[in-house]
Amino acid sequence: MNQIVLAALSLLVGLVLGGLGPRSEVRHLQKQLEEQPDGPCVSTVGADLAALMGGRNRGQQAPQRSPLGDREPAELAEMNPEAAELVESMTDEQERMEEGIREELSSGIGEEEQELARTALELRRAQARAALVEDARPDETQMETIDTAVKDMNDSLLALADEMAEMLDRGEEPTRRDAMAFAADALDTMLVAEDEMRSALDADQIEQLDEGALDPFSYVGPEIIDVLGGMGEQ
Amino acid sequence: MTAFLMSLRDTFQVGRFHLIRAVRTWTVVFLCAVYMLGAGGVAWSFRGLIGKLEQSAAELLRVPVTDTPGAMVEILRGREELQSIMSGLIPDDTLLDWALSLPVLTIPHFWMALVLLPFIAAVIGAEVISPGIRDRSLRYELVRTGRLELMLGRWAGQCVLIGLGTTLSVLPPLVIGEFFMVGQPFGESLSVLLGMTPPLIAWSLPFLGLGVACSQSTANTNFARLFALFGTVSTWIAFGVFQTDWMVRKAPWLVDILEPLLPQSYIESLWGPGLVWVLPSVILLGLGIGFALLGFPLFARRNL
Repeated sequence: MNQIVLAALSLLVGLVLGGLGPRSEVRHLQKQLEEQPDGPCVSTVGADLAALMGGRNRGQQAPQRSPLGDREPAELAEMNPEAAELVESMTDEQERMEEGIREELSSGIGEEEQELARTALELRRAQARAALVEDARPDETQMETIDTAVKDMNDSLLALADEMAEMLDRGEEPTRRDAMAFAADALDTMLVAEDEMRSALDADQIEQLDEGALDPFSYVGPEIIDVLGGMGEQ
Repeated sequence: MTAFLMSLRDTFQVGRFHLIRAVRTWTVVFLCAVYMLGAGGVAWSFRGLIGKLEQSAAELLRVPVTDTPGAMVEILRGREELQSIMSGLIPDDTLLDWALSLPVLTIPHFWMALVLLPFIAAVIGAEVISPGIRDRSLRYELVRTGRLELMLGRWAGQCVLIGLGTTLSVLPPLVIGEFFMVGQPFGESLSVLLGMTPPLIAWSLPFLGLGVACSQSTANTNFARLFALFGTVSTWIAFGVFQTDWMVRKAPWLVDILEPLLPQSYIESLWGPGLVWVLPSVILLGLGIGFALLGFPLFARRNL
């Protein structure tokens, strides 16, 4: 066993001694970093950058005096091409960001909000289904009927939403009567779904249930958000 | 070479007899019960926490509240929202993706085991040698083998017992996930929990070694347990102190020498996808043997 003991001890000694160099090197570099002076930078890149950016903002006045001497933007760009390049890329980046913000504002519902809404609907559906299973304890056939009813309802709602989206695509503004008809169709679809879910369960099971577990609104699928989000962009 | 093989055989035999004795005296049953109770307690507490969170979320979303949790958390596992929240805690994207792909009960199982196992292993290790010193029964075993073989054989036998306990501790989270929660993937949970078992066993070894070292230093088992627990707590305190800037500034050489010898220095390396745990586990095995040998100079000279 002496050999195994020696192997284990060698491993530990190697671990300690072998790590001494790298660890002290890291510490030395960290110390160097900490010791970097906070004083003014001797390089003129920062000052030139500020002067160049100041020159591009027409609404603002350029700094009146520079300790390094006042120079024209063109002169600065020639003297310090790195700073000029950096300013160019920053300006492009800023323009892209502004464009992104404009698009986000014009699109109505943002992607993040849509994702949140999808998650909320997904959570509602999962929780309502879990409550139904916990309280009513439906058998496999009953569960299959309920799942089919929910699927049919979501398919119908998606078809209705698609129809509405197509209308908007064609540039038609839905009339008051159209909107009422859509709402009536959607409610009808939900009522049919609830009736099918109720018919799948017996009276005792329904009695055990929380009313919310059969609420068809809790079972609306997250796919509808994509269609509704698309409508917001019209 | 022959001497080495004879020594290895003796160690194996001591370990085997240690296991047989543990079975005969029902110690193995007690040990497995402790591991399973610990794992069950953690899983049950976490189930309760998930239940409370889901109840609040259900009230907020105006859907019925359930007594059995798990439906919502399984939906959230694959969503971007949870990913963005967790990215603050786990900056490494690969590690984050891996962590979020794990079944929910496996995560507290692993992390709570990292906290609890050192104490259990140290206490168990403290009972390996000292009862034999106290009743002087070790003399009869030492007629046939050496002290080093006896000590390492018992350490190895205890490692097997800890391995058994750690492996069986995957059962409570599985049972709780399957029968007291909804939507928990049984097969995936089983494979993940079994995958977490080898690093957890490796994590226990240094603390078991610490317990065995304490067990060699005294004939009083209660003292040995106390020393082992104190030693385990000390490693956590030392690890915390070594993480402070003050310590790094004041005594960097001490940190450089002692930190690699603390098992806690490898704790984060055990957590990750694939086989990232293998290298730290080899180091922890070395630390386990090294810690067990701390008490050997005293044991080797002890008048039995």
